[in-house]
Amino acid sequence: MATLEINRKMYQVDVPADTPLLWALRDSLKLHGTKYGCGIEQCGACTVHLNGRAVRSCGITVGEVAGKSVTTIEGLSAHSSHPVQQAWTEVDVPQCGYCQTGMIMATAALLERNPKPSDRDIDRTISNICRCGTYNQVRAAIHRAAQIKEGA
Amino acid sequence: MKNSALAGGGLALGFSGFTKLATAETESALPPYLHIASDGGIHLGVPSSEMGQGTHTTLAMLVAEELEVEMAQIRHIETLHHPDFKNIYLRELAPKFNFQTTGGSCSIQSWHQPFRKLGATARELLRSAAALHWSVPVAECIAENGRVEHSSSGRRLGYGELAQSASRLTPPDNLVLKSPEQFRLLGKPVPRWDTPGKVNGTARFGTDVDLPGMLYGTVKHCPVCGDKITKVDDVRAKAVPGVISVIPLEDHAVVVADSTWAAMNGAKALILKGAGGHPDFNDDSISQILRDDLSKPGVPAAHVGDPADAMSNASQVLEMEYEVPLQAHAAMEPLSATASVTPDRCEVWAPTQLQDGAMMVAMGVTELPPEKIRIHTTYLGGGFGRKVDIDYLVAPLVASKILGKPVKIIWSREEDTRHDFYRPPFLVRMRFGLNAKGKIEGLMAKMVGPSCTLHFAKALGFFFPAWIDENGYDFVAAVSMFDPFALPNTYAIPNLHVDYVPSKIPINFGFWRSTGASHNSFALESALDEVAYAGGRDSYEFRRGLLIDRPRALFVLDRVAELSNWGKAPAGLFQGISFTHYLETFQAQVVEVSVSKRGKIKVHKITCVADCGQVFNSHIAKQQLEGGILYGLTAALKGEINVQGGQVVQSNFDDYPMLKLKDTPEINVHLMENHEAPGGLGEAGTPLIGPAVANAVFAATGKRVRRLPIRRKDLV
Ligand code: FES
Ligand code: FES
Repeated sequence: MATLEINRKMYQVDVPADTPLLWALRDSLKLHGTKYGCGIEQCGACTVHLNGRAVRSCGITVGEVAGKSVTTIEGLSAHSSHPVQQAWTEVDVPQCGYCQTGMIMATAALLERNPKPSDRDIDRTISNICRCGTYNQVRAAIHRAAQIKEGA
Repeated sequence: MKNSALAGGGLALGFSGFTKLATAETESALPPYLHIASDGGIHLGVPSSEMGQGTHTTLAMLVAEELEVEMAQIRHIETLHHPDFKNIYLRELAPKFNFQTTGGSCSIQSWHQPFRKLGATARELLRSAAALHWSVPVAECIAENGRVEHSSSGRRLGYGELAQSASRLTPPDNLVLKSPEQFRLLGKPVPRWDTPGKVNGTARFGTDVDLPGMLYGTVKHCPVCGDKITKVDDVRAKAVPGVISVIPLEDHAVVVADSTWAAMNGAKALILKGAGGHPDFNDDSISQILRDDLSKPGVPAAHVGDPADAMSNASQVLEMEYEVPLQAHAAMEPLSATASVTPDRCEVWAPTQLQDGAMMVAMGVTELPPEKIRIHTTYLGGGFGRKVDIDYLVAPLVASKILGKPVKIIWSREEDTRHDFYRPPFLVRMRFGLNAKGKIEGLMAKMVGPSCTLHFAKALGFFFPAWIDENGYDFVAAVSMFDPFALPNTYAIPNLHVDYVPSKIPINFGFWRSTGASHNSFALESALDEVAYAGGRDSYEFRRGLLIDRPRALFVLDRVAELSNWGKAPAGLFQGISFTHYLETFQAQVVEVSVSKRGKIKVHKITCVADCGQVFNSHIAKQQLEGGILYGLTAALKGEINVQGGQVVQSNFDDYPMLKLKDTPEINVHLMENHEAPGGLGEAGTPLIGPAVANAVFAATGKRVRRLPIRRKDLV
């Protein structure tokens, strides 16, 4: 039994402590917005925030997140009002959409630390995989999100 | 995952048979696919699976345009398994191929007319209902923005208010569809209907299905290709906490547990012994088979003029060979499906590209008649052709049948990579006969590689002539090499002959975004570049000469040259060009690359011009071309699938790398605007990028790329 703080609520999850956070979110808590793509921290589809920083939830265990605050796409904002979600909607980024929640979570964390990322910053930070090829729209939406966040 | 909202109560106006009204009886058996509720909300069932290509949005736009509603009024869109939804386009190509399927980039070609007529029929019924209500001529009743207005009195009734009475009228025989000048939506970059759920995490994919009492599972295959299970050692697997059952099938076993993680751990601990396969098979065996088959006579795939004569009279003959290895689909969503089987009922939830195939598997496993089976289609986290196969549907059905509970199966990425139905390896030999002026007088081409269509036909249990023949012809293997569609629209070569030799390679092969075009365009576009260079000609001008009598092709080619500044690449950058007529779409690409001294290729810019006829959503059309290009660029520059000891070497994104944001060049897509019949787009961008990059690499280095992906070691 592990106690987790997810999206500002406390949950008791009945899984072994070495269970990856990803599977506790998806199977125990039915928070399906966080996706499984590789299980080895390569693709970013499972990205969530841990104390505000982007982590790949397939690579961190339930035991390791005890006492820390986890945010998933479901808790990022009410009604997709987060600047990154607004920008994503405006640019109409998604194709199949499977990678997109991870992309959005990675971007939201990036903008917290770097409100005006350059293209180079984006190249270095956003290493999520999208097989549909939305990368250029992702880049455009990141710049747009920075503007929205700044109040432009 | 509630079943069809379409079938639910409150039906005010429903259709079955496109322009026929659904009645109470048809509703119970077959859900209607356009349903206007009494509150005016519109529910739409569509034939095509939504796998990122935007087909839900575009099909809804076609209805909304004619029905005179805004997209916001479309409350629900789902892919519906329905007998009216057999793929029209593919059936015309091969009459026996009578399936509901999303493949071949033809959703719009199949459905644009029926869906516009569907919207128009509903609109006319609603207008007639209003006319009756007000006792005025129909001509005075204007449908607009989800309601009907009486032109002279200004009275209005919403569609929801009219729907009930409209459903009692007879649909009109003569429908007049709107003319393009009247379009409010069609042709515009209308935002995707599915974006909100994909931005807030509520979009439901195959992996997200959740049913009460559901168990979780995964699969493990015999690692050696062709092996069947002979012995299962599941002691350690069953000792993993949470593991409930291990069910061996023919070449794979299902591990069922109380969570996906427990199932995956169980699968790791499971030991399968297999036999009957090909443990000695490896990359060299594949090359050897292709090489041996090259000397065999093939099946004719195209023939024009007198190529033998042209070749023997040629003043110069150029011969070259091109090769592509296996590639995996690697959709972001690993294979997944869920089934709930009881003695008298079966439901399947699957991210499938082939609903009728899912039905076949469900009938086979459960032995239930089709009326007791429902196939629900979830969103697909990418399809790319992998999910027309039906292998991944067996495990959840069998497990649910045995265990008496719903079971959701998710493959690990490793299983997904190692047990794909791969893009087949191909070897293509091109021989050109040139006259003294360097003009092509004859071409003899031979394509050698396994037939995906044959694999597919075997899985489904029958042939569908016109795609494949008993003698070995496979349209899919030959596509884009002067196939019957391309022939009148592509390079005019006065004498040519194309042969196809189907190879037998004991691995599963399947349709991979752009199918045969992925090897044929690479071969043809690279070869033309070689011929142009050999004669000292500019590669664009050379192609121009061959397309001079093909106005749409020429237009696209000229436009790409103009927009890309062909011939005027910035210092240090080098250009490559390619053209195709594929999926009834004309397309040309120009890329700009640089190559470092150590052989590192950087693609800087891609210009793509496409004439796909009438465009219904320009935003989605561009997304598809751009996405297709990046899919092809990964296959041209990144990894490949290798086989050693009968096993696939690669397993996950660490050893099978994908293009990422940092590798993505500027891409400019331009669509020609016209009202020609719509062509396909989903796969269109993929095959041209490989040869365009290869040609640019030649311009940069003088090294001719004859095999994809381009390896750094080949350039230094
Ligand atoms: S699933 Fe976690 S990084 Fe891919
Ligand atoms: S949108 Fe499909 S994988 Fe990114």
